[in-house]
Formats: sequence, C-alpha cells, structure tokens
Amino acid sequence: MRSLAETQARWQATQTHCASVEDLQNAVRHNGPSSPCLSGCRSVCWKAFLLSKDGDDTMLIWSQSLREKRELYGERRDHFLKFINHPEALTELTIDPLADDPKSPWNTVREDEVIRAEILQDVQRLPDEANYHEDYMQRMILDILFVYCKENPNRGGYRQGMHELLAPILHVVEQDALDRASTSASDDENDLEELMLETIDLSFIEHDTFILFSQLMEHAQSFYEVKDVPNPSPPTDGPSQSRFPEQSSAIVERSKFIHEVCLQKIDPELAAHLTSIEILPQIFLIRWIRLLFSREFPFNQFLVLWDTILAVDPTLDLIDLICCAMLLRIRWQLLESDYSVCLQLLLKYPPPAQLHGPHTFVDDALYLRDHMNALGGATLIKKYSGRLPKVPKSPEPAERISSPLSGLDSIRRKGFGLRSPIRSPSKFLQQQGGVENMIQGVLEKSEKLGINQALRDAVGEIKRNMQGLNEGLSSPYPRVVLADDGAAKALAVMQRRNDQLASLLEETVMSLRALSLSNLEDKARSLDMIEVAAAKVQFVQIYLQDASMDIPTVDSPASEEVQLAADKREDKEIKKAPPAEKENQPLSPESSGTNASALNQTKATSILDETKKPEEIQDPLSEAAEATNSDTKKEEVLNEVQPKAPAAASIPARSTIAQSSFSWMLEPGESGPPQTPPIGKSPAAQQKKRNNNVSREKNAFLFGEAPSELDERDPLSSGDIFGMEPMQTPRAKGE
Amino acid sequence: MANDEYDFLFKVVLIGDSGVGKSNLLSRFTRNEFNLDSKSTIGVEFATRSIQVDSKTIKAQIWDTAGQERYRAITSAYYRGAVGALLVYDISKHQTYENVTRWLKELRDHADANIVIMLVGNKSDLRHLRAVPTDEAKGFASENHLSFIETSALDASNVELAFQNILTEIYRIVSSKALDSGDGAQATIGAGTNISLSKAADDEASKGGKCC
Repeated sequence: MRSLAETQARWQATQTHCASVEDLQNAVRHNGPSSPCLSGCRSVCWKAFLLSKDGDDTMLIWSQSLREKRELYGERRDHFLKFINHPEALTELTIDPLADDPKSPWNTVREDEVIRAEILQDVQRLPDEANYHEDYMQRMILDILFVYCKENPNRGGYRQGMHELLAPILHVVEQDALDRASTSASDDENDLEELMLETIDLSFIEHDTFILFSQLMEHAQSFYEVKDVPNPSPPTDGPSQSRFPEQSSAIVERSKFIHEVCLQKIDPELAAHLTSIEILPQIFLIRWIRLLFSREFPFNQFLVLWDTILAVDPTLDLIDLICCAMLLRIRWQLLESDYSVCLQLLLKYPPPAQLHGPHTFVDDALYLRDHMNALGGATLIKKYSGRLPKVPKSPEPAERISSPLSGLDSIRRKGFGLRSPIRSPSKFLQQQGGVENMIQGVLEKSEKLGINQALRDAVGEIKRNMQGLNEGLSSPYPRVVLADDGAAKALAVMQRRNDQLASLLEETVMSLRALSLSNLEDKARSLDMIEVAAAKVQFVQIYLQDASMDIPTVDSPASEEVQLAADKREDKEIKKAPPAEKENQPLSPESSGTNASALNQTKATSILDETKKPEEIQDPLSEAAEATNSDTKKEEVLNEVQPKAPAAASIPARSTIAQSSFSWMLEPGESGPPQTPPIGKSPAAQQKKRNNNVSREKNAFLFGEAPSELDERDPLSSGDIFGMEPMQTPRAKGE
Repeated sequence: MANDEYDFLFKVVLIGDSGVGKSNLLSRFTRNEFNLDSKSTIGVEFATRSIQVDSKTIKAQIWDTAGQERYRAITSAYYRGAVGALLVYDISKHQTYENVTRWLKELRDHADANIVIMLVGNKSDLRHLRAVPTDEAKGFASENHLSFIETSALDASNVELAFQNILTEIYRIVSSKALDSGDGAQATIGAGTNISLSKAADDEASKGGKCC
C-alpha cells in the first residue's frame, strides 16, 4: 500500500484533470506518461469513466452513484454469502436438509458451492501477475464473481474469462486504496479531503471492484453469452459451416462482423486472405475480446490499453476496430503466412514496437471509425510499416462472381489474387508460374479443407456447368465461322470455347468416377489424381468466369494452325506412353496440321468414346497400373479435347494448363514455368518419371471433413475415411 | 521450424472438463513443460510436434480448448478436420469422469464419425486422492471402443506414450486404408481402436524435433 503522502500526491494529480470526465478522458488519452492513470489514481479514473453517465459529470455526481452502489453491494453480498460464510446458521434453521424443495436453503447452498468451486478453479489459475494469488485477493475475486452470477441469474452464470476481467480491476482498486483508520491519527487529517478518503476507502475495495466490474460487464456480457435458440440467420457460404448448426453466440457473430464487415472495408486484401486460408475469426478473437486483450500484452501495457479504452469508449463498441487495428499492424506478416503460421501470430500476438504500445490501437481504431474504408486502412498500414497496400481500383474478376463455390473462388483470389490480377489471356500467359500458383492454391486449399471438400467442390462445379454445356458439346463446329467478323464470330468462338471447357469437365467427371470406383487403393496416386482433377476444374472455372481470356487469339488463325500442330505432336507423345492406349496410335503427328479440320471432327466424336474408358479401369487389384493409366488418360483426354474445336482461342491457355498440371505431376514442388515437353523426349521416360513421383510417398496427409459431407452418391465416402489429402509439398511453409 | 518436413499431418483435439489438465498435457507433450498454475484456457490454444512412426514423420497439430467451451462458440471450428481426440478426465475428481459420457456425445454430434478417441485419466500422480478406479475406466473404455491410458502431466508419466499411441493408431488406420477396401473402413476403425497398452511405442526414442 502506498504511503499517505504518495496517495495524496496522486490524488492531487488526478484531481487536476477531474473538472469533468471529458477533461479526464483527454488527459488519459494525450498525456502519455503523465496520464492521471499513471501518475494519479488509476482506479479513480476508471470509476469516473465507468460510473459517469455523461461527459460533463463532475466527480461529485459520480461519487454519489458510487456511494449508492456500495450500499447495494453490501446488501446483496450479505444476502448471497450468508450461509456460505456462516454455515452454522443453516443448522439453526428448522428446515430438513434433505427436503426436495429446490428453494430450500440447503439445496441453494449446495448449488452455490458447485458454482463457487467452478469459479475458484479459475481464480486459482489466474495469471502470475500483480498480487492475484494473495489469499485475500483470491477470496475477494471469488466472492465478487459469485455475487455477480447470483445477482444476474439470467446472464448464464460464470463464464471462463470473467475472472481475468475482474482481477485487474481489483488490483487497480486495491493499489489506490487508503485505509481511513490509518489516517485518523495523522496531524493533517483535517486537510485530507473527505472525497479522497471516501473514493478510495480501503474498506470498500471489494464493493468498488464489484461496481466497476458490473459496469464493464454491462457491455462485456455479450462476449460471454450463448443464445439458447439457434439463430435462424441464413447460412454462410463455404466450409465454415458445420453440418451441425452450432448455437449461435454473440462472440461468433461479433467475430464475423469484425472480419467480414469491418476488416473487409478497411483491408479487403487481408480479409480475403484470412478467408482463403480459412482462419475463422472467433478462433483468436474470442480470447482477444473476452479478456479485453489482457493476455495479448504484458501486464502494464494492457492496463494502459484499458485506461485508453475506458477513457474513449466505456461501452466497448470500439473493440471491433481495435481488433482490426491489431490485424492491420501485422497484416504483412499475415499475408505471407499460411494457416498455421497465421494462427501462431494471432494466438501469440507479436509485441508491438516500443513507440507504439498497445494503447495506440485505440487511436488507430478511432481513426478507422472516421475512415472506415480501404484508404483509411492503407493510411494506417503505411504509418506503421512504411508500405502501402495495393488498394484495388476496380473490382477483380473473382469478386464479380458471386459464386457459391466460395472455396474455389478464394483459391482464385489467392492464386491470382489482388496482387496479380489477370485481365487478359496474354497477361495470363506472360505470368510465369501463374498456373503453378493456381495449383498451389488448390493444394493449399485442400490442405485446409480436406480433399473431400475439394472433391465436392469439383463435383458441384461440374454438375453446375455440365447442364448448360452439354448442348454445346453436340453442336457442330463449322470452321468457316472463323472467317466471319463481328458478333457471330465471337459467339461461335465462345460456343466452341464452352465446348472445350465442357469436355474438360466431362473427362474430369470420368476420372473422378473412376477414382471413386477404385476405392482409393492407392492413396497417394488417388490423391494426385484428385488434385489434377481439382486443378482442371479450377482451370475451367477461371475460364468460365472471364470470357475475355480467349478473345485476342481469335484473330490469328494462321498461327493457330502451327500451334495446333505442335499441340498434336504433344498429344501423340503422351498417348504413346500408356500401353493401354494403343487405339490412339492412328492419330499420328503426320495428320496434324495438314487436315486439322477433318481430324478435329474425328477427334470430336472419338472423345465421347474416350471419356467412357476410365470407367472400365476398375480392377482394384491392379491399382498401380490403374492409377497410372487413369492419370495418363486424363492428360491425354485433356490434350485431346482441344483439337476438336478449331478455334485456337484457348489453345495457348489449354496447353498451358495441360502441361502445367502434367509437369506438376512429374515434379511436385517445382515451380518453374510450364514448358512444352521436348519433342524428342521419350514417352517412356516421361512415364517413368511420373511413376517415380507417384511412388515417392512424400505426400503428407491431413484429415478433412466428414465423409457424409461428400456428394451423397459418391462411393468415395465409404473409402475415404478421413478425407486425407496430399499437401502441396511435404515441406510446409515454416512455422 | 527448421525441421518441418513431415509425411502426415494429424489434427488431434483435447477435450474434457475444465481443470482436468488438458493444457498441461499439451505443454508437456509439445514443450516438455508443466505449470502448476497454468492459466485457464480461453477460447483455443494450439501447438504442434512431430514424431516418428515407422520412419514416417507425423506432425501432430494439437488443439486445446477451454473445458467450458462445450456446445459453445467454437465447436465446429474446433472439431473440423480432427482425426483424433484425447478425452481427458481427472482421476481425482469423479465428476470429470462422469462427464466423459457427455463429451462422447459431443464428439458424436460434431466430430468425424471415424475419429479415433483415447480416454485419458490424468493426474495419476494424485494416488492418494484417486476417485476413479483404473479398472472402472478401463472397462468403460473397452465398452465404448476407446483406447485408454492414465497419465500425469505433472510427473510426465505416459504423456509421451498417450500421444504416441493415438498418433500411431491414426497412422495405422491411414496406412491400412491404402490396402483395405472402402467397405472394411468402419470395421477397421472399430477393431483397431483398442490399442494394446502394453505395447510401448517402440520408436519413442526416435521422436522427431519439436515444433513451435
């Protein structure tokens, strides 16, 4: 306890700012080390902030309120603790201890003891800070929490975390307390202000702590509440949804609001990143918010943070933006981190720089409140990191699409992202490793979701698109259209493009079916196949989303032919590889380039036969061969799909994706730009290489979502217990 | 962090009543630390550690939550993707053992149907305060197809083994799935869930580097 002299000095320091609560607020906010919370009596400041109803309140007004509440607490405390503190009084009652009456004081005491045991368990586990573990402190914290719960029976009782909101308050009140008895002997007793003696009276430590805690909980209670009735709000997209609707709770709603509304406005890139790596905001925000950040920062720092929060906004509405400010401060680190690194950052928040202690988050939050947009966010990011985020000038293609496939959509954002927007096919092609990025996105996605999710997405996407595209598949492809100008040509080109995409999807469906029928005998290979399928579906999705991506090449039919011929050579090479594909041998390179259109017709019809074949490969005993064959087949079909459409529009992109997923199969983890396989390269070598990869067994697995979440007709659900999936590379990004 | 290569990544959750020692089991296993006054978990904590099984590196991503969080705010996020669960009770507090049934229901409602569950009687160092006989818990575990072990995060006994066993079991199931056909999936899991406790994790010594 402080000396009387020091207490007086502190009291005076506080008083100089106490003309009105508003003055005190300003002093706490702007006076830095000479803040009345630091140089004066912190507890008095907190009382002023929490008890005053109005910024103009003077100390005399709120201290009146304090007086009344003390009296009330005294009464309630005596009432609720009567038998706890005086169990002997129970025996004096003429009530049967074993009576069934739930209102019997005996039963009440038994229930109370359970409540107190639950509270005590947490009180004993308070952080090793301040003097929380002194006996008298423990007792007071227990009693205050107990009385609070009894006093507010409709608030759901004691919730873990309340004890860590209460303990700092008790500490602060206790620090400032003055023992009236010790001053009575003092000579200058008469000089002592009665107001001081009353406001920080030692004998009311517990009362005042309860009062401050109750005031705080008026607004913090919602952090702890769980609604009993499930919230019938419309389900959100994506995998964050459980198949069991969990009880909605205010903290989850608030976390969502912070992420999806506040952060989305302030830093859309970061919000999208957190979405794409599937960090549910409540995972870290629960602790941040419930404890008012007290576990995120060192003791003395969070007290200053609390000073500032209480000074600025005792209703705690600013919490949302304080959370955003904290996210902004580490946004660059978050943006370059994967799931587990992000989680580590958020669950163990990096200490802020000396100059910008935790209390500066309140200043940031106030700024954001007035500038709740990307520009406001960018200003703060620049302020603390010196770097300006890219503020999107126009909506990205991904954001135009309100796709139900939020998962794939987010891959797209991640893969091509805000930092590398794709607006034209040429840009897409120029972007080295763009497809690798995409596949990387798919894989990272899978890591988080479980492969089942990827599979479900793929199947869902295919289903959605197949219906519309099937018509196109049966329509002829008059090459003459290419000579036409204007809208008709564009339309026809688009039609062909759709057909190509449809075929791609069809063969993906086939390989997925084949895969499901194979019962996943060989996980590594099966998963590789699923990844390839997912990459293909992703590819189709992107091309469906951005129709502009194939238009520029339409105008150069001459070069198309050359490209087409080259492509066919590749096709042939790949086809040669699997022995099971001998029927494709007639499609020799000699025919390509000379009679492309005729060949295309042939291929267009043969593709339908081709796509059925994977179904036939169902011998589970020959899994190795099967996996290889299916893989090869997929690639082959992928390659084969293309020539049937004479428009070369998507050919460059087509070969890019085909080769890219192909080369990824060969060398996972390699991120070089997609290369056309050298003409002279032996198909056997390719085959061998592929097999090597498949047998590398370096795939890591993560269990995914429940099988029942799979497409209901998918036999995979029985075989794919946990939805294991390969990681993009066994080397996870460092933690 | 340097040694972050792994073949498998398994998410394992710790569940059980408040104060049974979940967080200390986690810290004992991942950091070899025990804190008598460890703070109550608010929301979620998470840590990882890699171990070796059959010369494969298995990275365990272990999630720890507040015992009071049952049916609460983070349920689905917590269980999603979990392949193993350590259902912890305190051998010195019978109530925590009685609540195991409720936790099993919680798992049935929210976790993957094939999640591997291990019943863990923690605080085995409190012999003089034992309130739950080992045989009773063992019987309950076998009735419910759970593996069972008693641990003490305080004196570190069996903590390593508990995690080794559950991770090995998950790994076995995953590997056997590669050979077994889908129809046998349920049976495989059911039968495979009882780990022989006498079987020491032979490769305990060769455990991998710690992470995080």
